[in-house]
Amino acid sequence: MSKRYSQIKAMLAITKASLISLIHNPSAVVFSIIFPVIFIAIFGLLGNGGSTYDIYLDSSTNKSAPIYSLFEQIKPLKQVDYENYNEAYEALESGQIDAIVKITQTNGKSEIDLTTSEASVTNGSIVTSILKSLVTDVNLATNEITESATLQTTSIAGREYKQIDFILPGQLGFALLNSGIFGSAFVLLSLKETLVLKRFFATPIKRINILLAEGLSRLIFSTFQAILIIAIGYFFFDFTLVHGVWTAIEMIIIAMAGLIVFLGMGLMISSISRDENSVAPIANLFTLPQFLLGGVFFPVDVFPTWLQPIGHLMPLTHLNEAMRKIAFEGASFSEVGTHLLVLLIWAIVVYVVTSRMFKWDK
Amino acid sequence: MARKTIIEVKNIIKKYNDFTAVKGVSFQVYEGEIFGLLGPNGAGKTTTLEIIETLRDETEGDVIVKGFSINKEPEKIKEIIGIQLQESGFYPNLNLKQIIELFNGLYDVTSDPLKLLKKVGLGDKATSVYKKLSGGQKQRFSIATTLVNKPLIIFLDEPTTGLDPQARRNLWELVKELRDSGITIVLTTHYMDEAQYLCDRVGIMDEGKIIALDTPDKLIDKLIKSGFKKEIKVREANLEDVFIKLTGRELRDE
Repeated sequence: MSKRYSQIKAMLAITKASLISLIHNPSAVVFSIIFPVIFIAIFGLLGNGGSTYDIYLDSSTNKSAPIYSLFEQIKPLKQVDYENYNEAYEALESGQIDAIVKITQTNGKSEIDLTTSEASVTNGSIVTSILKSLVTDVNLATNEITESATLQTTSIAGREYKQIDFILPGQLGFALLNSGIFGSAFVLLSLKETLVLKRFFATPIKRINILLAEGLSRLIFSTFQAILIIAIGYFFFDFTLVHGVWTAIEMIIIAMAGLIVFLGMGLMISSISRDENSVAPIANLFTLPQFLLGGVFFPVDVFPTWLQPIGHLMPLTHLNEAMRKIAFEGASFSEVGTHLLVLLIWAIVVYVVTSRMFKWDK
Repeated sequence: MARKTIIEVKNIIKKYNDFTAVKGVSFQVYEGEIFGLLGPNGAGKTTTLEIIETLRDETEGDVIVKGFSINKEPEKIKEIIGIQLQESGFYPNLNLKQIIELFNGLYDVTSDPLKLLKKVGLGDKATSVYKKLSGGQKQRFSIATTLVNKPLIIFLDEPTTGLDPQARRNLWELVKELRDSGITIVLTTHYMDEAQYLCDRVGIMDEGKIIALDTPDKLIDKLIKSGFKKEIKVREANLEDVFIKLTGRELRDE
């Protein structure tokens, strides 16, 4: 043989075969694309009325502060009146209102004082997100041009934190969790059991490249999955992408980081499982808690305090949070650095454990 | 007739913990022959085969395939052999043409999938899925995949197990055609009629050792010379002949 054998070509051949196989697998398509879209549709339509959040504006608020005029225009924030602060405080304690806001202005610097309550955690956290993005926007604007308040106003008034802005990243995260864990655990185990893998070993491809090829095909498939889900959300359900296409690209990059963690978990599960029957229960052990506690349908903060730390440990929680901040608040990668760091730690743990446990044969 | 050795198995031993599956097996396979490895289940046939195929590490010994040692240049060996595994499946949801293309990539070659499929009588099945094929078609397809890299040697592990008599005969003809085209074939089988019909030489294994090695005719002659007599006199035909006479040689693909 005069020609040198190409590992790359062999890898790409597996990637191609794996993609063809994925596309022809009805359950892969249903679970990774159709299900999330259905959920998004349901919650997207529910949210289309536009929820409002009741807030009490502290009487000491400086209404001449520039930020106040912007604040006033945030549609979902509905101001509710109370006789005095104490009454408002009680209302907050009992969940009748979602937040108390005080805006002050000192030496040209505005400060928003926000008080939320455990009685209304979901709405409180949404109000927090809205105000956070307000502050971000004002700061962005003042950094560049000093008198940009009017310019900013329009984009803030239109930026309404809708149900879809919460639901879509969660659904995308969950879809990736499923594609990653089930996609790699089941496929790998069945390739082992049907001796497809062994047949590959009889060819000159290096073993590690078989795994890389499979991983690559999942990354390609899930990139399309993410693009499709984000596009459907954006065009049909008014999902917020602060900086348009760039935000979408940033979301997809983060999504792939999450997928790499989940693929590793899938590999780990395929090493733990003895046969195809034990994959599903073990895989569910990894997916269900994350589905429930990972901030897919509700923010982690709504859970009892003793459960929250568990939620905050899960990679899905951090993937979802990072994607939400990027999409709605226009956060940069460094601003979601903590979430990325947690994902990185998970990736290291998962792949180190997998490399010790992984078995090539049945 | 002096024949060239293409596979030289040198005293291989395979131990699994305290169990020794292969206990010092040596034999040679000549270029262009059909070599059969026979023996009861658990005799060590598949283990021996897989060691030669570089799929399993031996505990001791060496195998030289076309000048390459399994210990030193397993990749070189992989490039010149084709393998059919016992009960092996193929990548799911792919049609036959796509599977051949996958193997093209895995071997970094460019065989024409349709030509290969035609060669094994599956020219009209290019867009079928492997799962939907009949038993005989599956085996013929497996053989097609062993030919993708134009190998010098192919290994067939129980290629006719589970096939109906028509499909078996059809596969025998395919194997002979491949031998006649210059490919060396190493196969295992439980069917002695098959070994007698197909194999130029056979090695009989039991309990991890080769206990006989020769051409089928010579092995039979030796037995007769030793004074062996069959209890029932062999008739001019057997039940399989009746079956084939009645149902025809034509291949049935359900």
